[in-house]
Amino acid sequence: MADGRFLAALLLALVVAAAGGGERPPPLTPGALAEWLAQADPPLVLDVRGGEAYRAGTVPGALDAGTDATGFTPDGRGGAVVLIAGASDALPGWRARLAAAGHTVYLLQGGMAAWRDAGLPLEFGTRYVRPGTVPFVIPRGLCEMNEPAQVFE
Amino acid sequence: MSAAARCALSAPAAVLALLLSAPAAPAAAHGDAGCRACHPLAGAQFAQTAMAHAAGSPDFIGELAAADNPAHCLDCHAPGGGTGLVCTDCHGDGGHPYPAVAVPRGCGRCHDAPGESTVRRYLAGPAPSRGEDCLDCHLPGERAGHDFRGPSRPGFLAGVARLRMLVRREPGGAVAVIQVRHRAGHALPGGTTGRAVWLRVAGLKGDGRVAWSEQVRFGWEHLPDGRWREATIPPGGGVMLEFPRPQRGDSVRLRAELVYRFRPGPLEAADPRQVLLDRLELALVEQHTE
Repeated sequence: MADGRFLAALLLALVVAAAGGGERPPPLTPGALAEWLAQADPPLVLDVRGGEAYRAGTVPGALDAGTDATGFTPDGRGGAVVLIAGASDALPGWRARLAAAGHTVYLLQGGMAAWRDAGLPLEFGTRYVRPGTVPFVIPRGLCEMNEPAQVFE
Repeated sequence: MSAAARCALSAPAAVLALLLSAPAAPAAAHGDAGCRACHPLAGAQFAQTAMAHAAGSPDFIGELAAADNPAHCLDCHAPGGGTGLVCTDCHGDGGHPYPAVAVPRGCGRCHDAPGESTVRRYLAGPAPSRGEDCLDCHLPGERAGHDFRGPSRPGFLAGVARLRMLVRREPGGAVAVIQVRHRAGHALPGGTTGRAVWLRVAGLKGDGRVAWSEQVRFGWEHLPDGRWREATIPPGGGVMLEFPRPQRGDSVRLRAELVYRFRPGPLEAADPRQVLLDRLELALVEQHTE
């Protein structure tokens, strides 16, 4: 039920935003994106500002898509995409590339500055996993000690 | 049987003794025989669940035999003896009318016990803000019932996880990025140590042969020194992986597969119950060639 109300509100906001037309993707406010990301079926979020800006802080779960739309290959599954772009990024090229791949494209309104100003959480590449990563090690025999796992976290 | 007597037995004999030992509490205060007389449907439903056989699976018996102090394992797997949980293990020994289990706190007694992080990860994830709790997935549509279901129930894992993939161009060459997200309210895999989700990524030549491949295991790992390492996939944003130069070895396609497994050990070891969660292929187009 909560999903339904959220999606209806989101749809209305996007229809209003899309009425502006143009080559820029319709905007999505930071608050609306944060709420969408908390749903069970969140959009794909692509950061097209480049690796340095991406690592300096991005929307949690966003992928570094590079800065070159012509060198970008999507997975063909389509669906909603929210772009995180800087002022100089070639938005029309990204929109065309993603729309051609079946994506519905939105733009984070105000970019990362607006996201930060809204006090929303940032991520600094912490979701990247490599073989050998050690996020949480507990000692031998923890189960046998009968202690709660969080004691060792 | 005393602890000293248990220690005097060989490990398999001690395990057998533990599993077969009768509960210390009187049957009227701890068990399920009295409940089933008036709640036969609940009893029959629960008897089919994994919890009712939590101490009876071959995997658990194997781990129990290797444990230094197996009695603590049974605190959750068979608190009252036998081969699994009974009514009073969750509803308490307070007598009729027994209270409903407080969710998720009541689940956390065992599902946040050592070797698990299921409830902790749920509480730290986005599911509570959506108003979802354990029963929305594990007892859907019948919150008063006892037909608890989990990954071992056929179809339960359908659509639970999804792969996304992209390839970006950088000055140093192409980079493939894979994202693994899931809809579970807790980390994936939930539950305890033996289960795992494997990501298998391969670059494929034009004739379909594998040019290169990599595997990543998500779950709990038992390290050679005896410690446990948790590397599950958190709820919400999931995890991401990067694979530089995906076109190496003359690869023309990139394939990613996500597999849920119940048995510990390497991906190559047989697990007849394993479930393919998702599979995705992407063509490595000309702009990504070296």
